[in-house]
Amino acid sequence: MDSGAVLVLAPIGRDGPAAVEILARIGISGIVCADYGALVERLGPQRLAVIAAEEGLYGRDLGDLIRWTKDQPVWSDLPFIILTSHLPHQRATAWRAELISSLGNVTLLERPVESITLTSSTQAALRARQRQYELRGLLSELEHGNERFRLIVENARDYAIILSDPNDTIIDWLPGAAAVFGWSADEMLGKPTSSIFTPEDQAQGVPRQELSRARAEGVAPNVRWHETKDGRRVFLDGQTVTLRNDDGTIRGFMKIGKDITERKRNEERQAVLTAELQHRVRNVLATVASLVKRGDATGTTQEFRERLSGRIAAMARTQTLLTRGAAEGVELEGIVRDELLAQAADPSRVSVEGPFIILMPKAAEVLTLAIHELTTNAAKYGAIGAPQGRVTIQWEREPRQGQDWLELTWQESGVEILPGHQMRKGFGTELITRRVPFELKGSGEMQLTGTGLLCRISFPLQPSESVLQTGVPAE
Amino acid sequence: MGFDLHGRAVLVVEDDFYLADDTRQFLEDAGAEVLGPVSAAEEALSLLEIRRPDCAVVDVNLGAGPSFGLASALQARGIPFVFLTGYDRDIVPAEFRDVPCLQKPVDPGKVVGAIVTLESGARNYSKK
Repeated sequence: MDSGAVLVLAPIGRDGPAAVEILARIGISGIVCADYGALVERLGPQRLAVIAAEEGLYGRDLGDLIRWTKDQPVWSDLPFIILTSHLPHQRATAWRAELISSLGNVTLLERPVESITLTSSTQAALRARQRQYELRGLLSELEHGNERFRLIVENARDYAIILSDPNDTIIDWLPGAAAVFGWSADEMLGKPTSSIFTPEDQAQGVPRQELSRARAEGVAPNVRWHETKDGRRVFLDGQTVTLRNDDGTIRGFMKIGKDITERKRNEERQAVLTAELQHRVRNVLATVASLVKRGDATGTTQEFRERLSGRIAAMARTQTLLTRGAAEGVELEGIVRDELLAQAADPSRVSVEGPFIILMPKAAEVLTLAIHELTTNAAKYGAIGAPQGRVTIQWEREPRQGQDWLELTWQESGVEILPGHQMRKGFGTELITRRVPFELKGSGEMQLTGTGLLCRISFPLQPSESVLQTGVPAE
Repeated sequence: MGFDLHGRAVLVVEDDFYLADDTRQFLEDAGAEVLGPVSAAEEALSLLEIRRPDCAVVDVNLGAGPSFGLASALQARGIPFVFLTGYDRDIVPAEFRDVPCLQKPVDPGKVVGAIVTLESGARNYSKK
């Protein structure tokens, strides 16, 4: 086993075997090297020390040995114990000085050497070497720790980590900060940390307040919108931590924050959707309450119930279509055909024609009920119920004062209208002649002609209600 | 019903026809003169140019999400009003903290009650 051994170079005399013997007594193995070349060959970090007689080194080119000594790792400083020889005096002094300065960790023992002197010097050298190995262990742990820390910090792309000096000038801009903010380290080093705050927060002195809180309390929360290189807003959830020296003075600050912009935006979107849903539900209930209150109370309870459930079913059909997507409209022809279908109108006596038009929620809701009223009325008293009756439903898109209007006509024919017959002024009439003008800012008229009911409904289409404009990019 | 709003002009701004019409009916039954009802803020603002109401009923959402422009205009003119809203009360900005807020669905009778309270408050206030 030569792993933990001491190298011994003593080519002449008894010193070599004596040194090995002394080492053996303290439980250390010695390797005797025949000459300088053999010594250099066996050098290595595992060697505990070198014991060499001067005559083994003197007059040699010590270049390899010196180079090896210089190239040792940072923790290593191999101890040399040199036993003096009777060298020519003048040259010996200079040579020894040179040797000591180039090998560094050198103990010079003058011969003849007492056994106790060699033993104690060797033990001191071994002990020092032991401390070097301990240092090697600590250093390697530290390096592993550093490596782990570096890997974590450099891969934490959702975390912006920024170090600054006591004046809050940025001294370290880690890759996470670059990923979140878009600025490179080169662009940010030397700038104040306040540059990542929004202009509003900067104007209100928020960066300064945050720092003084960090100074006073050690840490200050930093949970707010910040601004990136391209002017986008990012929401950081993090804190500013004061870093202190051992004597308590401030070494600088570390700002660390997680980019939770997406979550923040989702929360905001969620809040809007919840408010909207709440609003819609309340509106639907309010409308249902109005349907109940305004329903014609004439006739039997059975009739009232049928009319009411028909109206609620018509509303439900619109709601189903409208709630398929946010701000989605409903196609007009679908509304008309659904209502005719619900009344089982004979398709051969009904004509439906008009361009493709998408109605926005409000218009869809009102028009569905209007068509529902017209259809149920026609099934009961008018053209759908009458043997020779016909219904023509047609619509156009008409430009009026720079806006597209919907002009819809419901024309019944083949109905026998008795002279002097008055039109019933019920829920449907009110809906068409009053609610349409009020809510849709248009007009609604109903009149009885000689052959049946004629109804005209017109109102301005909201910009998004015309498919012709869907190609226009929204702002 | 006991409410007496004779000689009072009330502006009604509400885009739901039935609620607007019922509110008008209740207010008229209580003797008030109703301005409107109108269903849009612009219509209400043009009405304000012509006539100054004693008070107003204002729906927070007139079709395109919550808006408070009309409320600010009324406040600037010193006209007391009540809000109607399908949203939660906290959607109302802080400057209207003292404005009574009725949540939909609302009984039109309650709207009239709120107006009467508003009116008597204003009258007591002006007596001081």
